[in-house]
Amino acid sequence: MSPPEESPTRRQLRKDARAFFHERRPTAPGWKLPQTFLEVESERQFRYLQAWQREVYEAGFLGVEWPEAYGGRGMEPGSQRVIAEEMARAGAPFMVNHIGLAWAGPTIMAAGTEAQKQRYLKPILACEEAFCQGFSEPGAGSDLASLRTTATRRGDRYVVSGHKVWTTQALWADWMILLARTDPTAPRYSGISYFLFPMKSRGVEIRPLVKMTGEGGFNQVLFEDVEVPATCLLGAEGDGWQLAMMTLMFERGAAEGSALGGAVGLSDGVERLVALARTARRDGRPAAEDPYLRDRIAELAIEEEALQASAYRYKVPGLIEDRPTAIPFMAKVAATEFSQRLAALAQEIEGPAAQYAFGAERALEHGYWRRAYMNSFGFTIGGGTSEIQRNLIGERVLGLAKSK
Amino acid sequence: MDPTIPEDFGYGEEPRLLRREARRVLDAECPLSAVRRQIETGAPPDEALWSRAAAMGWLGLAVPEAYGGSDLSMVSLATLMEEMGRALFPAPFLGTLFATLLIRDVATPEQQARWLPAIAEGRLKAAVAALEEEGGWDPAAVAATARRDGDRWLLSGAKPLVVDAPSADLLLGTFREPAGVSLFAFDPRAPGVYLSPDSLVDLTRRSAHVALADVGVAEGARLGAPGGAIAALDRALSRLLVALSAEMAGGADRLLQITVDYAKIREQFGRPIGAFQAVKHPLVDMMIDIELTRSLVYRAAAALDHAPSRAPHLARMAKALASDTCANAAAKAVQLHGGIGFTWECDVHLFFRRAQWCKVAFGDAPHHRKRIAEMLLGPATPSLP
Repeated sequence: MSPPEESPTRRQLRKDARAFFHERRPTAPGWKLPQTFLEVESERQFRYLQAWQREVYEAGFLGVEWPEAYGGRGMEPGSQRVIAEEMARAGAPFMVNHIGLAWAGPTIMAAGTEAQKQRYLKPILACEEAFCQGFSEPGAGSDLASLRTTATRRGDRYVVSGHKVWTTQALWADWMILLARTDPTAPRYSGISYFLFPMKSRGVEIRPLVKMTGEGGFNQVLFEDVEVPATCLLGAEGDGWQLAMMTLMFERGAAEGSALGGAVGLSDGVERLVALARTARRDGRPAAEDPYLRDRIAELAIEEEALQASAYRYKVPGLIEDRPTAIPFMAKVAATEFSQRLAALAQEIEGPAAQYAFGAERALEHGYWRRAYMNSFGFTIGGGTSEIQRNLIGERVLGLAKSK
Repeated sequence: MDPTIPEDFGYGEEPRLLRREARRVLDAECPLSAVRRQIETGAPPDEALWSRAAAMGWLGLAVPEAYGGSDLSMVSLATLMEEMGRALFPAPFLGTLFATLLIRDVATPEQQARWLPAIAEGRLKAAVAALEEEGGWDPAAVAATARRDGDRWLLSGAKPLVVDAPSADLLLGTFREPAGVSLFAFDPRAPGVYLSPDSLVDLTRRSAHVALADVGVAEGARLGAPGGAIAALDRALSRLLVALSAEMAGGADRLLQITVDYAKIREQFGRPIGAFQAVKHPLVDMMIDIELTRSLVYRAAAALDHAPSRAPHLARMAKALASDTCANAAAKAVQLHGGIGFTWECDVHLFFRRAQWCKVAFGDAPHHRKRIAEMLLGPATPSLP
């Protein structure tokens, strides 16, 4: 699509960003880069991406809407989105400190003390300090409030014990946004607190997990009587559940404030599917000529256009009067399920070649779409499954009775 | 640089007020009970409602100011249509709109002066007889003919499913003549015009099979350039598709609201059925489809206002998505209502029926996706060398 009409400032920003990403986009390193921030599995990958994020930040293209006092540029809303579009257009690598930039950072901005904001926000932008997220536990997935990791107050410190899982980038993170139970006697939602937890503390053990793709990227984190200063608390003791809900709103693209400037990112578009359909063959002809595949591709092109249009519509008050929260609440499920359908259709377009594994020599695009399809489930599950999203939308937006 | 679409869809104070007024008036004067009464009595479209539409300025929305209209944006028209869809507005608006768009685009000043003020004031209803049996939704497939007979033309042919023809005072049609396919205006009551009203799945809408046998019309009955009808129709159809898609989005949204309200009060197993995920999740899927459709409809409308080169593509996209959305919403609404949803007395079937009509009118989803695919991927089968 062509971008909507823009102000002169916005146009200049787009022009500058386009020039920067075109010129500075790093060349492929010659070894495998992860597709998204969820799949960073080696120190080498992390350092490479860290250096790239720092360069983007130093050039003035990251966190531009955050206040200058915290390392941003105080630009008007929508500015970062323009940059994000140009970054995607140039095919530049993603911003590796995604959890800091899009989930932890905005939460600290909204709920942190002045000292915390001064302390954490700029290093997030410059990727001097990376964040991971300690919400899920082996026994607390969709039912997050049943979490059992504890943080017990002892003088001016907390002692943390427990077990977190699905922890992306735990190996390189300096900080974890951690949910732990500080009052075991309180009702389940009110006994939880939110910590900015230092990962390099003694007693933290990280055990990498292997995903269905065969890649690493996430981990289990075990805490054995880990002592951290009480100043690690974000908000007050017992505020954890509300703050966690806030973080999840950012994570799902349902609230604004991300230093990445956008809703849930769509990694691939129909454009890439069209290119595949021109290359792949079916019945001895380009797959792009197959009537069934053409119909399916058109269907996704329409959905893509509608998703993009929604990202603009939800900022027009007159066009969301009847259901003002619908678009932010549905952003995650709509975008991630779209990406999943896109990757699934790619398997069909590939035909017999879809039998090759990711990385196979004879695979189309090295099996890119195999990996993309498998990884798409990370997004329909992580951050609250699609099923949980539908419960939330049904209850919060449509006002239906609770499901339990 | 490409012509571009404003970030705010050009949605200003004008459509906001229009929406508020339309909802207020339609809620008060066109409740579902009145729609149902009209259906069950078989009464012709309510003249009082039509006069009200004229008084509200709705009939002149697409009419230039010089002819007594307000010439509002496509975004405003979509807004009104969305509200009409919510209300199941049972008046012959679509046919008159279609004709208005053509007249505005191609008619001579004399023709415009004759018809447009009358349309805006509610004194003239119109319809367009464009498509033919053989051609499906292709406006270029015209077998009907216009041949010279002295200083007049003789029109012959057959046009099925002409929406709003039964109440029309003026018909426009496409006819093949030596110069190509041209638009002609004719009087539905003229000798040689045979109008047989259709029985439609949508009980709130009327159409007719229009047959013509040597219907004589004056030279001045031709609209636009000789042979220029297809280009004129293409332009008007983009607008009509977006208007109809907006109506469909409005209807689907009302159906969602009705079904959500029912899921809140209907209890089974001691709980409101909306508490069950088997009911809740399909309602959420309906909502997501509807919200996406609305976004696309307004983007297409804004393109018609500001970026005409992108409009035909977006209009087809909007119609394809709206067709699927309203059909799915209708099916889910009946199913989730359970037994009561299968009865005549439940209002759901009124919307269900309209959805069945709308989803195929002026091209169903596969038809428009086929065109989108051509734009994305090139022709389906490459031409032979």
